Amino acid sequence: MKGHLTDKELIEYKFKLTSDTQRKGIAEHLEGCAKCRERLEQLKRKFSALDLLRGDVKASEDLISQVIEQTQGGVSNSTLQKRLLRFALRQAQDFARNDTWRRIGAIAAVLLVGLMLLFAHLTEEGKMYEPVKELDKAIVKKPLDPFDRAQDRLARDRPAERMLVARAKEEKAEIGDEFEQPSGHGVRRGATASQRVPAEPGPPFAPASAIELVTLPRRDKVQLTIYNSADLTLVRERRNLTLKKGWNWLQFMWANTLIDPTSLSLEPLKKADKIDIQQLVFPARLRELGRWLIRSEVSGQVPFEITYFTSGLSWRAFYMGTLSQDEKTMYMQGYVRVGNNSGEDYENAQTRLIVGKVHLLDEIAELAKRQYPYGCPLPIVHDKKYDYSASIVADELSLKGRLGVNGFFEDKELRRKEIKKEGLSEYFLYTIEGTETIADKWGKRLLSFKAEDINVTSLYKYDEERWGNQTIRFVSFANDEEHNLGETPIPNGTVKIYSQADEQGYLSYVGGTGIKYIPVNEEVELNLGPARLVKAEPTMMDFKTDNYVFDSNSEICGWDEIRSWQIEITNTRTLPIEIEITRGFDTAYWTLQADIPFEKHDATHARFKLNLHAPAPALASQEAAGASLGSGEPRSKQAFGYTVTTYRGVREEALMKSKEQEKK
Amino acid sequence: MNGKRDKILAILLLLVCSAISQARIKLVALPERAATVIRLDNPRATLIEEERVLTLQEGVNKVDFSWKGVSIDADSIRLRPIGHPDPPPQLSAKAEAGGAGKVTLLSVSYPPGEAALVWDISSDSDYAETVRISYLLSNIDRLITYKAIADKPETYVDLKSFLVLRNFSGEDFDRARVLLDYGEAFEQGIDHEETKRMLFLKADKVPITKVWTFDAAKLPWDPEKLPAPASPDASRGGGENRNVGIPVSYRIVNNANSKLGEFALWGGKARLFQDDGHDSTIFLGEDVTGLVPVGEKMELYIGDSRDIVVTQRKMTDAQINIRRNNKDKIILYDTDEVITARIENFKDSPAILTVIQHIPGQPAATVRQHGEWDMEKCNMKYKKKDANTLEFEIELPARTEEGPAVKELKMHYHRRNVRP
Repeated sequence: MKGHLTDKELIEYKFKLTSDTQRKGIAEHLEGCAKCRERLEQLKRKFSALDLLRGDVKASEDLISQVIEQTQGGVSNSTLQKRLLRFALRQAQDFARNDTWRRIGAIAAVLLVGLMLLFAHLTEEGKMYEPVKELDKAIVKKPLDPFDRAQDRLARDRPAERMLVARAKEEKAEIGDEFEQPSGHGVRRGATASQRVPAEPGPPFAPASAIELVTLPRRDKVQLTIYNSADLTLVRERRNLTLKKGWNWLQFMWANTLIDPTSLSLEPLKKADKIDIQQLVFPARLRELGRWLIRSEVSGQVPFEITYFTSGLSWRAFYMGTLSQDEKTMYMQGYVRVGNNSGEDYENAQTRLIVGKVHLLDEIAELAKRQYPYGCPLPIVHDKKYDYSASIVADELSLKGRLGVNGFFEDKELRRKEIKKEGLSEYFLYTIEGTETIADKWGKRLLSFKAEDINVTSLYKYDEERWGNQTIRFVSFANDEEHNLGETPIPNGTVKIYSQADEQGYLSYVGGTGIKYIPVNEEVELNLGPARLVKAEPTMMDFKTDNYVFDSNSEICGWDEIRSWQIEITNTRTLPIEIEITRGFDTAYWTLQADIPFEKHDATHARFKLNLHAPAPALASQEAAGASLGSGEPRSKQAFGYTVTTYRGVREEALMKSKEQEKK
Repeated sequence: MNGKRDKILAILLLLVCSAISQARIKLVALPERAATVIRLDNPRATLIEEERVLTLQEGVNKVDFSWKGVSIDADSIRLRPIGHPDPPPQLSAKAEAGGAGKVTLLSVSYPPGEAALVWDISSDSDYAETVRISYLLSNIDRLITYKAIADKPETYVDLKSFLVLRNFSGEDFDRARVLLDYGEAFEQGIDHEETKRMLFLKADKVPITKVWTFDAAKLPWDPEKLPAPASPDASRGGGENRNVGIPVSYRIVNNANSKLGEFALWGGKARLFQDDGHDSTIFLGEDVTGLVPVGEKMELYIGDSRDIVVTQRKMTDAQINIRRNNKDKIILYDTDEVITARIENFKDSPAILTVIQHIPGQPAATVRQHGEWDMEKCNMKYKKKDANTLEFEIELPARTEEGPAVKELKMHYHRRNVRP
């Protein structure tokens, strides 16, 4: 006996459907395997909730049918009452004997007879009073349909009612299938059961026991499509089902894994025109279960595809970049890491990863945990008995007994798997070559791409409004062919940048950051955080006001403010740098004169860019005098100045007028 | 001696049973429902109509109707004789001449302390009368869900609509005709606490239009200036590490060209998939749609595109034509505003981006909301959606080897007579 027992083996063992040899083997395994024993108990509990029990007291079929007829006026009351009394007396005799279970059964029988007598009594007297519509769940209002209450009664564990239900169910089956046919074509208005015109054969009532259904065979193929922007995985399974011609019920159950029942879908892959998936039923008071009703014109094996959403699988991208010593190029590797916290092991699954932002209305995990698949119009009392944390080994897919040390099968081919990438709609699909086996709670890392000699630019930025008085280091490149990239977009993730510290190849950690999704051909700017070796220090050297305007009340209604700034940049790195300095103003009415060119970034900001060389070794300890761009001599410090005039009050108008005049 | 004692005991038990049963005289077996109709055309309430055959005697008959454990709107309960209804006055003579019988509902009474009512019905003869009892029942309803599978180039979808019947009414319906406000009726049984999903509508190759929309009132203008994410493990950077996604929708028109158009499409959750060209599909996204009347559009938002980037900035924002009162206080002015929007398409296929721009109204909330404005110059055509909203349809070609396809929108406009 290899590994753990499958559900099928446990069910066959329980219902004694195995051969002696198999039975012995299973029994031996159960003795030594606590998890399989636990699983067997769980199945027993499920079947006991579904299955019908047989009672001890037997009311004859003839008696019951007479009661039914009598309630519809078919049998005379006196005959019936005599029969009932005789039956009651026999039960009273049973009661007198020293047998506890017989006593209980006898009391129940007597109560039953009393109820039947009551019905008979009221029917005679009730000719002046019409029958009452009773919608109470606890009362069998339709004597022909006690089986409809079976699950509710069984849950309450009332032996007497179970008994009644059991007999009536058999009786119902004997009366005929008319009651189970949903088609109303054969029903005449005012007809009684005995007068019903046989209608077309309709679908059978869903059997209570899973063993009566089409047995769900093992998965032939499974495909996982995992999304990184949400806790969502689309699972696609292929299975060969054996159908019979006519009606088939297919039950799909799951345990300890979060499946969204509203996403369940079943499609035949062949003979689709001869197979009709009629409906999907979520039975009352049963969870983690769905039943499909299938009408088939063919019999035999048919391949089907079952799809659903599950939760607990995830993936993320991360990157490692290594800068060259001169920081002009970078070697980059991209990885994907897939994690499985779904509660289920996935063996030999084709694994696909989706890059993109999907819009979801509900979390899949929340939909999976809902008490009712499509919710309920009533306020729900949380079912405390339902234990999501039960650690029962999953069914036939449990691999823990067969997995290797690392939690996954050894790959037969000893080479790294490729990841194929393609665009679909607004998403990118990464398909991992071959299949993957990822056990529950395990993760896997795969290389998604690598690129060498990516030309990069190091840029430093200074913007007080965004980063205070820190200078921030950026590394920029583009996701295009020129930079040896550009094949596909780069998914968002985290990136860690290292630099080569020396010729021996030792590395130095530069910094890390998150990276957004980078479309093809877009520039990438990686923010590596504050730069310790490059500083920018602005200093206001002068402040004046001018051009005051007074209103008719001699109040100030306009003026200019003139500020002179000096910005000193210090580069103590051994490499030249490029720095971008952004200055903001609190008004859109400003003019600026500067020592160096600038760009009007927007209505309230101006931006300067300049290059600083690395300090020459001989001058590294001296202070450089002044700023001398283009002199060819390296400087560790550079400074430039600018004067900005901001206009207040009515002076704003004056500025606009002067600009208009300039245009003219 | 024991046998005699046993018999006495049994008889005593039977007497006790019948004594208890006398207290509730109305507990009798009912005639079977002959037919039941569940009408789900109103999302707020479900109408149940059931027919039963009552055995009426000549004279006055009392029919007791009670319920427990189900939510029936008591005021909605009605009983109508079907076989021998009481005809209206103008038809009475004719009915009597024709020998038609008469069953009349006389009154309705409510017994105290019970969820019940009693009908007094008069009958001019003995009849096995078919009556229709109707009432509004709560907690049995329907949901509609959609599943659409798009082809790989996203030109059409195979659309399926599912009806989800939910029954939490407390009542089992063994077999009933279920009616919606459109489509054919169907036979269905459904138990209490049961949910059933069935295919209701199928339409193949329904044309779709894919729509990208940048609404300047809803989305950030400059991705570079986005604040840093709140989570501690996120990047230290700000907008340079965050995308602004452009919402993407599928648009379906409910008309005959789309192989629909026969009736309004009910609102519900829609899940969209796409054929990936490898005998499989990927999930594109989901959205909830409202009621879509015939001729109207259904727009399903599936997610965001990060391959189209819009960077919008206000380049000029000045006051001009300032008017003052005799205290030199500014009372009215015009504005001179320039907005530029740089649009980059990094996709390898063309797209049409809808850009929605808003010209704000008066700054003070106490004054009228809308503002006056005029466009001095705009380099692209637009459509006025309302007094303050402009819509641009910008065709973006696919990216090239040189880089993304870029278009720039520039709007130069003035807002007039703005009050400070």
